[in-house]
Amino acid sequence: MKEQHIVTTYDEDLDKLKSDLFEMALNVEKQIFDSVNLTQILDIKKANQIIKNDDKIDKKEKEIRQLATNTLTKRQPLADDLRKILIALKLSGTIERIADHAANIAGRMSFVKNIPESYSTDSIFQLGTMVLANYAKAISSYDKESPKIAKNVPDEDRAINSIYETCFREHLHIMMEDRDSIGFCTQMLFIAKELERIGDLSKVISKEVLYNVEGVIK
Amino acid sequence: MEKCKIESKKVSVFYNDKRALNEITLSIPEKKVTSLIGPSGCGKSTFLRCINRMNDTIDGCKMVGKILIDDKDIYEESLDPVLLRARVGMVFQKPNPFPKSIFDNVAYGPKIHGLTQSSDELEELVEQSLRRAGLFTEIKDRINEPGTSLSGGQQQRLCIARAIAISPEIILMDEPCSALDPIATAKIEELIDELSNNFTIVIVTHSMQQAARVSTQTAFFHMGNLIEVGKTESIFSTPSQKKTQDYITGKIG
Repeated sequence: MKEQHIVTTYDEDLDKLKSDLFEMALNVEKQIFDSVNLTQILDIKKANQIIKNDDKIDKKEKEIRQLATNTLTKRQPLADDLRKILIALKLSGTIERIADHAANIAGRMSFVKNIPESYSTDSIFQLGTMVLANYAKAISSYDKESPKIAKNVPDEDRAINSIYETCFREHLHIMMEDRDSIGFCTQMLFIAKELERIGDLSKVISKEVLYNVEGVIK
Repeated sequence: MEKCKIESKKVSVFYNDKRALNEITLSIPEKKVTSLIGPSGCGKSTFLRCINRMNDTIDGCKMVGKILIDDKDIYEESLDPVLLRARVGMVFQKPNPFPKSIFDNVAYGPKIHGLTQSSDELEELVEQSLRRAGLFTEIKDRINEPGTSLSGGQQQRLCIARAIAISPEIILMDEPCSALDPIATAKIEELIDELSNNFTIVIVTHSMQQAARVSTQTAFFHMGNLIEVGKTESIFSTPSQKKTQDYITGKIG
């Protein structure tokens, strides 16, 4: 049975904070998914849509911060309640930054205009799917308040970093072999960096989940 | 390492057949502020009153166990409770100045305990006590007016001045701010902070925020039992007991 506060509106405030943040996180997951797909099938219309959606995510972050601030003021929370609000404040900012990286990928892809036919590697896409999966894992650990899931995220991030290094070397090689690909590959390397940063920020989410559940800052 | 000023060992208190406290073992460090928190009727005020033997005056009240101050049992038969209360001052929920002037309120304790040799010395002690209670500059021009003419917050600080005038080692405070507005409360909390440099303070409070602000150690009581004691930051951020967590966050089962 879920523990309840004596003041039921307190539960409503905390539930709303969590559901709003989770909804924002799911919308950002869709943004990452769409932006990673752009690296396979270039779609300028979709890229512009991703960039436009980022404004809605920015707005949502502000709403969550306001809700968290109001709850702090009204309830003067302690212990696990305080941690829930503190991590909502931090995660809303972290997820908003992740959304910025997704929008940056869309921006880069709209800049390249087309994918050269000679470009045959799918390492960026592989990196993207791993990053997406790890992000999904991180937000699932938040939703389920699961330290077990959260603890997996840093391990996956190490694998992501390794793929990023491979991807980097691979693109350097392509650029050395084909000077015409330098412009395109440079954009792809920027995209790889955006994805790698999303991986790092997913790790931040998992750390906050552990702090929420265990109450220890690591 | 912190020196222990007050130590209770398996203290139980009964009001006739009803057990109000159940084997409380608690160490209170010297020159620190310890908060006692818990729901109404949990025994925190009863425990506070054990420290200066205020419960002795209640018919049918019986205490077992030991309370030591500086390693000496304060319930020894040879110990005079009046002398004990000179060492252990108390401030109550409702300010209770005597129906006397501000000066006489503070001078009363030093006079009956013969702490000063001359009227000049007494005046100096009264002024010093009022200054330490943060009240002197506000009332210096009306020191001969009745204590009851002061505002609630000033009356409470007068009671603190009265308590510290006899140089106690320990000050017990039983919800000292519950009848005060936020400004008067802030002044008392500032005062508690300053006084903790020289006195061991034990405060009963219903305000979690106040306990978090003023104390270094917090003890949580529930139905006569000491559930948890520890550093205040730990109790309010990561309590180890579910009962503590439920109480401080206002949850039900």
